[in-house]
Amino acid sequence: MHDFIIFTIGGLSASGIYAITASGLTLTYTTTGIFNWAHGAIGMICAFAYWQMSIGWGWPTVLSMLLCLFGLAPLIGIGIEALAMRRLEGVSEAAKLVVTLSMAIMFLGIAQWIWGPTTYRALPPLFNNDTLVLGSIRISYDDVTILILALVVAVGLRLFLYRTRMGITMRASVDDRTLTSLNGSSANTNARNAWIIGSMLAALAGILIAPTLSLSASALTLLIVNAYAASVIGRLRSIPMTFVGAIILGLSIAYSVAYLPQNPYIQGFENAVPAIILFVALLVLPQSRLRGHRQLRSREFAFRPTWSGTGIFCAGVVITGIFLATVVSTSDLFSLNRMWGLAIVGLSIIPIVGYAGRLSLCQLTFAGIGASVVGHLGAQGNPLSLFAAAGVCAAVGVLVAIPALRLSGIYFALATAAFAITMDNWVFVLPTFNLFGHPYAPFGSGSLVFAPFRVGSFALTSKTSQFIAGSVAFAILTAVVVAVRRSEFGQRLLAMKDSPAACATLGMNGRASMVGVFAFSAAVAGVGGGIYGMALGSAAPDVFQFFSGLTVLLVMVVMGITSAGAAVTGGLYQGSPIFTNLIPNLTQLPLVLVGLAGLGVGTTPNGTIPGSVRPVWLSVLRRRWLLGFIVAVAAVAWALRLAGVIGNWTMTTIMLVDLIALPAPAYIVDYRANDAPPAFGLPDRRSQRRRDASPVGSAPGGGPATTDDQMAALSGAGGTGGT
Amino acid sequence: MPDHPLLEFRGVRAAYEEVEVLHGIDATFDEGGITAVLGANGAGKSTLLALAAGIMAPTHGEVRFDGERIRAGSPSTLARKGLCLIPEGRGVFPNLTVGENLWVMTHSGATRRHVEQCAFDRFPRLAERRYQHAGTLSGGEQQMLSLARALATSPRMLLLDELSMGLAPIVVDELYKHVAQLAAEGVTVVVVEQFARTALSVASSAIVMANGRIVQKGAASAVEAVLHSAYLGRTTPQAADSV
Amino acid sequence: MGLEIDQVSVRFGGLAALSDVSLSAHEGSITGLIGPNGAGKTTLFNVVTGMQRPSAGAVRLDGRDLRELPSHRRARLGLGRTFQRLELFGTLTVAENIGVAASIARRGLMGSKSREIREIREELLERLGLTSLAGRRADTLPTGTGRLVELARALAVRPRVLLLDEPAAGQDTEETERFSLVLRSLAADGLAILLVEHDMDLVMRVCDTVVVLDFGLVICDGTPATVQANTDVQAAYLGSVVADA
Ligand SMILES: Nc1ncnc2c1ncn2[C@@H]1O[C@H](COP(=O)(O)OP(=O)(O)OP(=O)(O)O)[C@@H](O)[C@H]1O
Ligand SMILES: Nc1ncnc2c1ncn2[C@@H]1O[C@H](COP(=O)(O)OP(=O)(O)OP(=O)(O)O)[C@@H](O)[C@H]1O
Ligand SMILES: [Mg+2]
Ligand SMILES: [Mg+2]
Repeated sequence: MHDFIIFTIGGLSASGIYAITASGLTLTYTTTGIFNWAHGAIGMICAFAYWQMSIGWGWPTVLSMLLCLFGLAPLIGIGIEALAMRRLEGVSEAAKLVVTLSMAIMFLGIAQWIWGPTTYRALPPLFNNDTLVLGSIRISYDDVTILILALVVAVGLRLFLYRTRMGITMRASVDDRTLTSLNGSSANTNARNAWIIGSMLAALAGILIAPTLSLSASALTLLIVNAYAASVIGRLRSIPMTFVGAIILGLSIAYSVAYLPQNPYIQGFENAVPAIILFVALLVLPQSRLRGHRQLRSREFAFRPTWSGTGIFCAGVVITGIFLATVVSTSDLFSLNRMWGLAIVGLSIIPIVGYAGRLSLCQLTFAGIGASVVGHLGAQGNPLSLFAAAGVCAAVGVLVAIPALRLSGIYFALATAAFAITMDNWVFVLPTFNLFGHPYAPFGSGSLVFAPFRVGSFALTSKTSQFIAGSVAFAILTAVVVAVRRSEFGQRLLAMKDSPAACATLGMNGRASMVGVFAFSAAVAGVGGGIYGMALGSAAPDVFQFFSGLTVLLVMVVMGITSAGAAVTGGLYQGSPIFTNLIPNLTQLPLVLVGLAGLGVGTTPNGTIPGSVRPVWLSVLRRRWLLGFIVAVAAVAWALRLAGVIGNWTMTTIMLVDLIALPAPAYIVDYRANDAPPAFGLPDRRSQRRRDASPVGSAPGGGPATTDDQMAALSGAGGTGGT
Repeated sequence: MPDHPLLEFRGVRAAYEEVEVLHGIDATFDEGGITAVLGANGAGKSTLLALAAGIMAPTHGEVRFDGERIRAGSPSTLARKGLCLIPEGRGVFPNLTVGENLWVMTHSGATRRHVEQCAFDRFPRLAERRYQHAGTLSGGEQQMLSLARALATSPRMLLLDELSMGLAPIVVDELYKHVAQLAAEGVTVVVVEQFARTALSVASSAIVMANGRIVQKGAASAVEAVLHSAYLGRTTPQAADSV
Repeated sequence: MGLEIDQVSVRFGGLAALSDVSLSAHEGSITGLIGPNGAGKTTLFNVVTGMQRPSAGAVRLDGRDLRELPSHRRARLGLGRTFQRLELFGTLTVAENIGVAASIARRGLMGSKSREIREIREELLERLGLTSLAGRRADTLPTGTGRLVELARALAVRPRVLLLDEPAAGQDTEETERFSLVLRSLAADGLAILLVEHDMDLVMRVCDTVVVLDFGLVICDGTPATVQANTDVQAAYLGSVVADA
């Protein structure tokens, strides 16, 4: 009994932290509509700053704390709102995720930059380990303080959100920003206040938890994942229920650590408890009814790829593959080799996130499953194991999809995250168990060894052949994904994204379509995982970690979630050491840079490739001679390099000039002629051309009205008349 | 009386992503009275109101409210200065309850009790729905709720976009009575409608728009006569001034 | 034959949104459903299309009980609808909106399929006067035009019963005029149409019968003339408009 009380008290104290963190999340979500993945990171930065002031510089504890809570945290909030959040209206759920994720990554990079992770830092408890003695039980004042603060925060927030005009208008701005300002409250001010309060709560949680965890940037950033479960129990809406959720969470973790049997199969399960609670909480959420939604104008556009464009792209991919395989040094190729597997995982994101608009965060997990299948079945290098991987992943995909797809928006994303984390922490690290009568351990004992694929006597043993094969596999799968997009099924997915209710009343079985696309995406990811594994040679489960998957998604969204080129970039970024090689001294810089790119997603919601690269190359494609010339220059540079006449740097310079400087003038000419789609955030001038051509637009305003005009006023000529 | 009109458009052009939809609008709305803005679907009426409320910026020309040039992006300031726009078809916050929606309206010093009283007096149905989420109200109930803002905050100028859309005839009549009463109390009202008849029956003056320009303005009765004859197929413009 | 609504009731907490509502819509005829705001018209449509479970009562299509069928199965049996608040596929063009709908209904016929879809699309664009807007992104349309696109989209699946929720709201006089002709021609093609509308001119002109709902109860039904003359209806709904006319 005594032990039980001790565990309960420990659990409750953790609950208090979860409650503060989760209330902050819930508050930000109800007042800005954004699920803030950087909430933990904000707390982390503040905890480090607090350490710096109180320990590093020896300032008084109270002063440091006040400065962090009421100085630094609000500043961070103001900065976030002004720099990242202003332009997020009408962007997809994925873009919103990417913005906050980028913030998290950036804060992490900054923290590790300033406070090198190798130094040990610790914060003393607030009350010097003083305890409150109740009979035989001792409770530290820190724990009591945390619980009381959590309760105060919960009650205070609840009153603020429902009993003050400011709180209510903040909730109102999520529904409709314009209408809020028509009601006399500035939507920007509301958002700023929301971010200030959210950041302060994050800081409070960070500072309170810091003494118990030794200060570690990534541990503090990831703490947030546990709090998700509590927020979801509160349905991201109700502060009291969030508080209850935090208690459930804290106690479950404490009891599972204390009472679950010690056994290697259960060990990982303990780490997965928050994720499992999250998954269960999501599944018992009442199903969102099929109801009409508000028609918010979306800033996404639905680009339909052409076969000729896809052909050129795929050919380009394979040629580039051959090209790189011939010019890159073997050691570099060894690491560059990983890019195609990851690029295929990126490709798998396109159908589910880009077309269907469902934010799946577990694609890399499917890659892990695929890798495990290929590692076991393809031990002799049988490439057919890739099909088995696709099949198994599709089946698992269906199993996950059936419960998860009744959720929408951020809830679906969280369910896939919970699945991914459970797999990471528990299933992937399971020791050998019996699967259909065969002993099976997902990743062997620690890491799984892959044999190179072979067909007959031909084997992909050299890195060069693997690299080229990877590019071919990527090109083929690109064509498959494009085929899906161009099919009627693809068109229906886009329709489903815009209005599920309308789809149902047109006779479309939305659930089946979604299960189908999810399984398809999972299968593609599984193939990618197999190829990734082969490129690695041996793989431990941690290469398939949830957060690595998020980075691929992040790069994809920045580059353009529906374009295959983005997948290549994602693979290149995540899979190759190119950045670390270029700038070895600043290992944190790529993180910060990617973070910055993600913050800009609000300005180019459709991504860099559709927004800038594609328009420029369209101008090139129109001029076949220019295309020929560019290809010729590249070929000559390559030949010279192979012949040993020029070195890699000269060749790279020529290539860059060839691929960037030559297309640009063609685009500028077209744009000047109002005949090219906008790029680089320029305004669209094509309509200007159309308008100049139409008599209505060019007639000077203010001439005497004709009777025709009066008739037009009545007859709706501006709308649908005159056809 | 100040020497400037309450709301004034000077050579205003406006565009959505470079597609120009208003091609040079000059219009003035003097203090007091009801002006009807009529025109076909897509004529640019809602755009005109968005410009007036500072939601959108003109590409050329300027819009002035009470003699001051309107800056884009300042709808909240304008709202506090007494310009009240009831937008087309979506004047409520669907995830807030009716009571909370009314609370949001309490800017410009009106107390919560006052707003609720005004709203519930005129629309008793809203009192019954007080704790219901506005998104689950019927279309008409939502319209009543959004009109409550005009009733409760005593604005100087009221801009109504397609007030009658989706409302039962008896409610439209009722709402227009309220509008007429507000006008009688000194509020300057602009009603935008496609159904000429209802709007013209309460308006003192009228503007007709087509394809992004004003094609007709004058006293309501004169405009009505012209529209009537055009509608019947006759083509002689009558008394109303042509622009 | 056609649609039969039998003693349907819906409660939201303490509020009876519909109480024992029975009505039917027959092939080749237009049934108007009118009533004050909040009378339960949209709720009734939601019940018929399976988006709202009734607390009691049954809905039958050609004698077949639709209970337990999800929305999309009902649609495949020939039930089409439009929405009071537009539910267009905003990121797609007008033509694609119609094309998607046609492809949903016509999948499985490999080969001739895409030609057939194109034909349906062209025909509907033509019929509703949308040809010049075919390439326009749907979420940039004015409301009234959006309603025509929704109608075209509903027609693309070739329904036998069509539920229209305020299809003329947002349309101007001329559009409404043409719209009424479209409705009549659809009825002449054999569709059963249930029309919710507040534009009394339109309702009285095109409907064969009119049903009046008030507070979830049917208070009157009959020909447009009988309904218009009914004093209850005037008091609850029509007000002075009819009295003046
Ligand atoms: N956000 C937008 N993007 C692009 N075009 C738009 C946008 N909003 C309106 N338009 C176009 O601008 C024109 C004028 O629209 P506006 O909404 O002002 O017309 P309206 O007279 O209010 O019509 P309605 O009677 O349908 O409300 C229309 O052709 C419309 O399609
Ligand atoms: N989910 C819900 N929860 C609670 N009440 C609801 C819900 N949905 C509808 N209601 C109520 O049911 C009643 C009927 O609504 P409905 O939308 O069917 O009206 P309607 O006849 O379509 O009116 P209108 O012509 O104004 O659109 C309304 O009073 C509305 O407030
Ligand atoms: Mg309008
Ligand atoms: Mg309705």
